[in-house]
Amino acid sequence: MSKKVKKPVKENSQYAQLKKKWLKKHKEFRREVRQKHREAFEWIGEKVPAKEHVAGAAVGALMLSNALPATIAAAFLPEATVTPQEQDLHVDKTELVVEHLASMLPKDVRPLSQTEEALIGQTLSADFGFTVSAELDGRRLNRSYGFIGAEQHLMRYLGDLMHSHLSAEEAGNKYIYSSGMAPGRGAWGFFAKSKVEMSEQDVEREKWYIAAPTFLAPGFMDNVKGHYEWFKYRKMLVLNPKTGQAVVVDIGDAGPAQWTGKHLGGSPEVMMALGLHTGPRKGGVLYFFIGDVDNKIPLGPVKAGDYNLVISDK
Amino acid sequence: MNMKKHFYSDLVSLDTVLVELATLNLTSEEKKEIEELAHAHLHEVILDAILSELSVRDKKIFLANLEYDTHEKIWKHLNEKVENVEGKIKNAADRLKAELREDVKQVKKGSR
Repeated sequence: MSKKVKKPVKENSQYAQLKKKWLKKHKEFRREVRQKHREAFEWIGEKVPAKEHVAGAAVGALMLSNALPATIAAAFLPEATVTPQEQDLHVDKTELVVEHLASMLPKDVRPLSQTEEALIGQTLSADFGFTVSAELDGRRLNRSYGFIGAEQHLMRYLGDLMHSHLSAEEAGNKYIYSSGMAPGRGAWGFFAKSKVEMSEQDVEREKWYIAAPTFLAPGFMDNVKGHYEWFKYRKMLVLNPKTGQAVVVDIGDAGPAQWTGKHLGGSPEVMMALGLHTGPRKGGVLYFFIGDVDNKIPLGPVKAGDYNLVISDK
Repeated sequence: MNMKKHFYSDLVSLDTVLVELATLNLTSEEKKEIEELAHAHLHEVILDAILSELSVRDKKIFLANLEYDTHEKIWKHLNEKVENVEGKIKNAADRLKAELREDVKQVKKGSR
């Protein structure tokens, strides 16, 4: 049985010299390009899992390879015969969000600097696929990273009671039911004039409401009416950075009071969505405004990756 | 085995570099490997030249089009978003080719 023996390559041969030079050049440049256009490469990497990369190969294999052989091999893969449909590209990026935030957030839950807010806003926008920011239309809350605590259900209309407030399924949830209902109205009054006039939107707004200290917003006292109207049902993304659990909420009440040590209040449903409904029912969260002019992002739990197909306009 | 045809393959080639490579003392196997390396690097350079001209949104669209290797869509998108995109790709490739040819010359000179 004959065995083909490869001739050893001399270190100073023209081949060895050129290969060493070009390999170094290629690796360094490739690293630079990936860093320079990091957001776009991460995005495509997340959208198209490794097993899908055979189709296009041009970007995929290049992204996945750490050294030359795979990179070169990519150029020889067969022509694409499959075009994956966009809906197949959904990827849950929750772990990625947690990873990103771990490197950006301070150890203590404290107000973020403007630079930190900008960086985190940019990261969350990219991860979630829609634009979020700590400041919107020149308005902001007093902070964007703070402790959220559990609130009660709010009366949606005069006469709303626990037995009419919850569906049978919700009533069967011990936490949702035992949270009870606040005795008064929210800061913006009832969500609907009466039960018969209550729309699906009203139901969702109460279900996914947060209480935010709008009264502590910068410039609030200079234009109380303007702020009051702007904050009413304003959509925000609230996120538990430890777990990546996130929920799209609306500001449905003002609070909590400063002495409580909490910076935000969440409806029972919001607290469940954030995984903060057990134990102390309190935890550090990020809360950023959602630039959803066309009202396309529905209220309720959301995962990074749900809106992969909405490419942010940054 | 043929080289994969990229969306820019009709626009740029490494012929002048390959001619320079032919003057080196390489086995056919070595030559093939070095050529592959040059093509891989060219691909990176062209990617960077294009991505550097696009917004984040358009970078994503470009990479998605590239991933699915739809040449028609790639060109349609690039022509809409980048002025004289073909010229920019050619320029980037030309700069690389000059650099690679110089590398080959230096290796040849050093081994004399």
